[in-house]
Amino acid sequence: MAKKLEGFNFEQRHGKARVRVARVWRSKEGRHFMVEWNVSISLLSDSIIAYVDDDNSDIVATDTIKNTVYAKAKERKEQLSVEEFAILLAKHFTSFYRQVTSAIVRIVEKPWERVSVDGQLHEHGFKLGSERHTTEVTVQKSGALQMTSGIEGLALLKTTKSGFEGFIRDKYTALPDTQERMLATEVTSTWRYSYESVFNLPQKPLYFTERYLAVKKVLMDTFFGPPKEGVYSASVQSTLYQMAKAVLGRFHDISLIHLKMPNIHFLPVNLSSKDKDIIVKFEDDVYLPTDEPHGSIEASLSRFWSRM
Amino acid sequence: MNPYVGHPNPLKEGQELFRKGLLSEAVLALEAEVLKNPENSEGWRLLGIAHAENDDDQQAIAAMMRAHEAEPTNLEVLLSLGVSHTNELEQAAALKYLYGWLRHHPKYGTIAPPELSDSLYYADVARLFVEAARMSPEDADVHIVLGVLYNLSRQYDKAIESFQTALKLKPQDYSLWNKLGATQANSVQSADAILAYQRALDLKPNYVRAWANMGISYANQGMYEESVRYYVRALAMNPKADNAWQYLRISLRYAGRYPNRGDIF
Repeated sequence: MAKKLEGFNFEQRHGKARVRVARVWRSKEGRHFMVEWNVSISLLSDSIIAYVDDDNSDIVATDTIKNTVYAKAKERKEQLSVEEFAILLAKHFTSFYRQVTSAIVRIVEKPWERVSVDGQLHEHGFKLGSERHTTEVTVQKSGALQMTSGIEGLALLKTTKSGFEGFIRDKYTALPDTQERMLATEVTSTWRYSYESVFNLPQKPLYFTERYLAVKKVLMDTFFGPPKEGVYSASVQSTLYQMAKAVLGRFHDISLIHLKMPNIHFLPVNLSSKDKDIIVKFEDDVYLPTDEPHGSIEASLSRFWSRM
Repeated sequence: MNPYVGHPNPLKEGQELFRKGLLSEAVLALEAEVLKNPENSEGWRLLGIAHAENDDDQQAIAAMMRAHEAEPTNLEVLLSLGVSHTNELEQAAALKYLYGWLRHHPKYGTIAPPELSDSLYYADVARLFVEAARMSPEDADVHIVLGVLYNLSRQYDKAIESFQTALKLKPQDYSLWNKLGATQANSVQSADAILAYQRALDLKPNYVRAWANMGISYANQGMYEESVRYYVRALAMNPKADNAWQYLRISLRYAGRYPNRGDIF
C-alpha cells in the first residue's frame, strides 16, 4: 500500500526469490514421498525507517526468510500440498513478526513422478515429468487470504478433429479455411480459489494436490474429448472456452480461471523443385513443427460480477 | 396497463413510492411521468436510479440516456451512466461519462481539458481524478467516482480504499455501501462484502440490487442454499430482474449437490 513520504507516494516490499528446497518423507512401510519446490517470498512490512533513516531494526533479513523455508519444511512431519506449504509460510511471517502486514508466497513444484518398474510402483524412484504445479498465496495479518493455483507447460496435441474457417478474409489473408488440421498448444492456467481466510480451509490432507490433479484432468478431457471419437474444435478460442467452463462447472470452490493457450503451428509440408514438380505432397501426414511465431490466445472466465 | 397513467402528478407519486422503497411501483409511476413529460430530466433520472436499484442496468442506462439528453450537465446522471456502464464492463462508455462528470463539475471543470474528450485514455482520466481528490479530500463524490474508475481497471484495493474514504464522509449513503460490497466481492472478499451489503440493506431494506449481490456472495463461497434465499427475496420484489433469475437457476443446480463449506472442515 502506498504511503506518503516526503511529498511522494512510496511502495515497498522485500523478500527472497527462488529458494530451492526438496523434502523427503518416509512412511513406516518404507515408501518415500518427495517434493521439490522453488519458493519466492515477498513481505509487505512496516520497515520504512530502513529506507529513510538507515535504521534496519524493523527488517526481517532475506537470509532469515530463506532459512525459514528449510526450517518449516523440516518441521512438517507429514507430506503436504504445495498450497498448504505456501499458506503455512505466509502465516508464519505475518503472525511471527509484528512488522509484517502481509506475505505473498509463490511456489513452483518440480514434476517429480514416482516410477513404475515391471508394472509396480517404485518405493523411492522418481523421474521428471513435464507440466508444473504452481501456487501463489497472499496472507494478511488478519488471516485474510487470497489463493490461486495453476499449471504451466502442459503440452497437448491432437492430430485431427480441429479446424478453423469463416474468419475475416481480406487482401492480407493467406490462410485457407480448413476442417482438418493439427491442434497443438502448451496450456498455462491459473485459477483462483474462493477461500478467503486461513481459518476456513479444507482440512483434508492433500486436498489441493487432489484438486490440482482433478483440474488438470478436466482440462485435458475437455481438450481431447472421448477416446474413440474425440471432439471437434472449431478454434483454439472455442476449445479454451469449453475447458474454462468445464472447470468452473465442476469445482464450486474455484471462482475464476485464466487460460493461456498458444496455437503451436504444425505447417503442412509441400516440396517441389524446378526439375521435379512434386517431391512431397501434403496429405495430412508430413508437417513442419514450429513454435515461432505462434498464435497467442488467452481468456479468463469467472463467476458472476457483483454490481455497483 | 399502467395504473399511474392519467394520475395528476405521477412524478410526485413516483418520488413518494421511491422514498418508501417500493421500487417496482415507483418505476410504473415514473414511466407514467416520462410519458407525460418526456423532456423532464428529473423523471428520467429517478426512473434510471429506480431501475439500477432494481438490478436492471440495461433499463437504467436507457432511462439515464434520456435524462442526459434533457440535461447534459447533470452530475448525478453522468455518474450513474458511468457506474452502469462499468457494471456492464463497457470501459469506453464508462470513461466518457465519468470524464463528463469531471468536466461539468463547477469545481473541477477547470482541470479537465475539453479536447481530451475526443480520445480518452484511462490513465489520463485517473490522473485527473486523483488530482481532484487532492484538491478537495472532503468531497465524498470525487472519491466515489475514483472508486468506480479503479473498478474499471480492476484495481480493487484502491477502489475499496476510495469507497471507504467516501463512506467516512457519507455513512448514510446506501448505494455507496453497495458499491463497496460489490468491489469487495469482485476482489474475492465475499465475507467483507456481505457485511457491506448488510449495511446497505439496513438503510434501504427493499434494495433489490443489494439482495441479489448478497446472493452472489453466498454462492461464490459455495453456500448455494443461502444464496437461493436472497435471490428469491430480490425476485419477489422485482420479478423482472433477469440477472437474478439466471443466478437463481445456477444456485438451484448446485444446491444440495455439494456439502456446505462447514461440513467438509
